[in-house]
Amino acid sequence: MTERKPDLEEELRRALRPQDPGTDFTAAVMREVTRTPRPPSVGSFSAASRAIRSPSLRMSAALAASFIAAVGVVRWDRYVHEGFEAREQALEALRVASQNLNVVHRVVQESEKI
Amino acid sequence: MNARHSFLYALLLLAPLASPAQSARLTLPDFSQLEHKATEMVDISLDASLLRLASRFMGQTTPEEKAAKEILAGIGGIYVRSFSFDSENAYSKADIDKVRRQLSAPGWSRLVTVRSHRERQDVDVYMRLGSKDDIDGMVIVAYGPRAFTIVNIVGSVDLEKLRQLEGKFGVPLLELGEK
Repeated sequence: MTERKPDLEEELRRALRPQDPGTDFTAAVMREVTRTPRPPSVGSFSAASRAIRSPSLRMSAALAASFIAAVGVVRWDRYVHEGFEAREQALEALRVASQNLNVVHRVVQESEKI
Repeated sequence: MNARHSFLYALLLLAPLASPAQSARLTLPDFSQLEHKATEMVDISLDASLLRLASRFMGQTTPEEKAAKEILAGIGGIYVRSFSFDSENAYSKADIDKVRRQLSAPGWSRLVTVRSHRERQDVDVYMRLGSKDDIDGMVIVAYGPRAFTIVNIVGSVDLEKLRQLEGKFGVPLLELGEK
């Protein structure tokens, strides 16, 4: 057992001895680094934040919001207008019906008196 | 599409026509040629959706709006044509007859006919009873030498509430013979 130990140590030393990687190693590593894409989130986030800070985009967003608000106001205004118009017409229709029923009522009552 | 599917489609298409609420609606003549002759005119067509909209815009504060809202709750449509003229015989009685002919259809019955000499007009009131013997339609046809009015109400209507509504519009009701 004791005789074999130096051989094992010698084998390990031989296996783990420093080796020169060669002149192409650095170039190969640099090639791999440039070929590997960057993490996308970092780039997109910065692009988005740059776009938000862009005055033209902010102006477009403000215009779109104003347009949507204006359409909403116009539609609400039309709804209220139609609602009040329908209300007036309904009241007028009921008034006409009521008037005529009262003509009938009066005539019937007068005839009952006679 | 086979014959069975065709039959089902036909049933689906015809279902709205067969419903009682639709059949109480009359086909009113086109009175547009009278518009330039009339001194006063009321031309109102309100279907169920417009009545719902109208009802949403009625408050509960004034008595007329409160009463009107109650009446409208049971109504699915209201159609009024009313014309007044300066001269006599400005409109054709044939148009009135077209309406009356529709009221001779099954389901309609004449509730009352009055001849008012004081107001120089005749008024006929027709009712249509639904499947549960409730009123599901009403028509008032009033006509005189210088005016006529046709009111077609589709749906359930309380006649007494409707009659009393006139008094709530600020016009006092003349309750003759009740003193």
